Amino acid sequence: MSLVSAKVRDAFNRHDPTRSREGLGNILFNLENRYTGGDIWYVNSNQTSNTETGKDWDHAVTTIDAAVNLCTASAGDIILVHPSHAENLAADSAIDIDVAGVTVIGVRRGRQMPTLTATAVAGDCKLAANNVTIANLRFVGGIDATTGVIEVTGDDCAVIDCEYRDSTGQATDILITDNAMRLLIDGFRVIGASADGGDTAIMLDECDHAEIKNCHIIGNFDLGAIQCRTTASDDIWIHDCVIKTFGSEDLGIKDLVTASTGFIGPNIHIQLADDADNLAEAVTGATFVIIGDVTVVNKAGQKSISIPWEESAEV
Amino acid sequence: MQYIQTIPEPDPTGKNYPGQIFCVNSRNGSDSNHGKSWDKALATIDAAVNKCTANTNDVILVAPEHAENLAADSAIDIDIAGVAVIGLRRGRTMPTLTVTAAEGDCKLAAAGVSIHNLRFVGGIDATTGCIEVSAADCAIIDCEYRDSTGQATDVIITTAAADRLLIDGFTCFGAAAAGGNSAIALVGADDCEIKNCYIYGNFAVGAIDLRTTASPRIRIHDCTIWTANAADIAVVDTVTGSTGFVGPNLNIMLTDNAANITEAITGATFQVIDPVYVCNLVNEKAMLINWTASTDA
Repeated sequence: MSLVSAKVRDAFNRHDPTRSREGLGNILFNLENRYTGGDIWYVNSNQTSNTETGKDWDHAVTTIDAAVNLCTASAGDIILVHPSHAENLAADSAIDIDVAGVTVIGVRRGRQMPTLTATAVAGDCKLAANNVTIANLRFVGGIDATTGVIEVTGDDCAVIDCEYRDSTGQATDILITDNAMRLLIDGFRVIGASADGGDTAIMLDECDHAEIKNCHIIGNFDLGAIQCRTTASDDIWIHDCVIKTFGSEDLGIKDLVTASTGFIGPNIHIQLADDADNLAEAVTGATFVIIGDVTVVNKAGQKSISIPWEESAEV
Repeated sequence: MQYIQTIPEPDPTGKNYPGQIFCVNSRNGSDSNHGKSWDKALATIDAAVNKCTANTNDVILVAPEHAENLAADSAIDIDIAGVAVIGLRRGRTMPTLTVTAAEGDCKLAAAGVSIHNLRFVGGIDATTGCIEVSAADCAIIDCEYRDSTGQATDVIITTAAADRLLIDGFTCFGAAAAGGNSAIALVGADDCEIKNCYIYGNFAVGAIDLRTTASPRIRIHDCTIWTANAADIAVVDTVTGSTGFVGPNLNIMLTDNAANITEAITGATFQVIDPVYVCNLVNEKAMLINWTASTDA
């Protein structure tokens, strides 16, 4: 009996070859690994030993990193993580996905998904090789001032339908990067604390062609919910996101480097903390462009307005 | 969840799918295998095509880590009607086809052929159309192109037989340097639809170019286009005579801060459906394209 997420099963049940995004591409899991092009490894902290084979649910390993160490690079290996799986990120590289092409998929049931709790400031999950994907994982800030529970340093990586939640204090930064080209962040949900202490939810450092979409980010961000920092990121695209910041700095998206380029929008909606002269600065970046609908609101009981950036003109 | 696709079990009995399924994986495959299971996968897509039967819903599944070169004209020649070639995608990992000859290409050369989730890489300068469509009712879905060496002259090209072509979810990471003409060049493609695309590059003619023979009743919508070329053209009807809707939901970035908003879409026989936004300078927000609005005449 395979454990599959409701989303995958729904996609299968809606199978329609004439629909490009939910047709032939969304195919139900088959967990009979003899038919797959790579190995499937199973992780469940409720099992008893991390020296098991990891080849089925009855013999699952108890940590994700143990499963990573069983994988072969660029072989299509998948790691499935049980919905009730829980483990701590108790040190730097607690989970170090350093094998290229590995996909770690949390099996999700509604709001239940595997939970990884940061219990050390440096505790993190690293996407440290090319073509690594994580999906349906919940990260919890179990200690104050964590410095990036998700760190991406490989190219062509993806963070899909993951979640972060502050539990103790506030994360300083949540998802950090370094020279991670063509990163995809899709469906990232951040439930941050309202109290001061955080800097960013997503920090891009030299992440050319990064795409951030379908994200819902709430927290108190001194430096912006999404920030470009240290080395410019070229040709990024941020769209279809909702951002709320409790921080009095009132920053939604900011290019701290002042050289990053790319599209901001369409369909970005930002709520700021203060009823002040701050709407234009909700997106700060002299080398960005705004396209389509980008709206900003700075007071409860009001509706947002289109961000008051200068419009292009025929010169 | 369209970015997470696990590898399905091909069903040798055919009970669950009304056609044959062939597996392709360069990592462990061989073109002398039968290709009906992953452990006996074929090594090349063209070998799998040659095993297919026309109009029987045959599907070719390509493993995410599959890689092969397009080293000659018709390196991949999908000339069997109705065949679907589906790359299995995990996040940003998808099968990669690298062009190593200027004419190296993948042809959609029979009716009803579709390709999904394939990444094309320009491994040599001045490639002349690494995806060529020469039959009706074909589809290019969620594919990607990336310049690696130099710039592609054109990326997707068609012949006048490519009626009702669907291009959905195409991503083009072109080079910033000059050398390219277009990302998509349509020739006489009736009723073609281009949607949900992200196109970046340096396009001397236009990111989407309708050329040689007019393409009637096209639809181009829900796309984001960025051209780094001073021609500052996103969509152009070079042949003059093509018709159809451009928009809604186009977002266009030009290179020069100049009198160029209107010409971002050039085609006297098009209709523009708003919103179509154009931006021509950083630190600005896009404006609605300033074509003449219709009136009650």
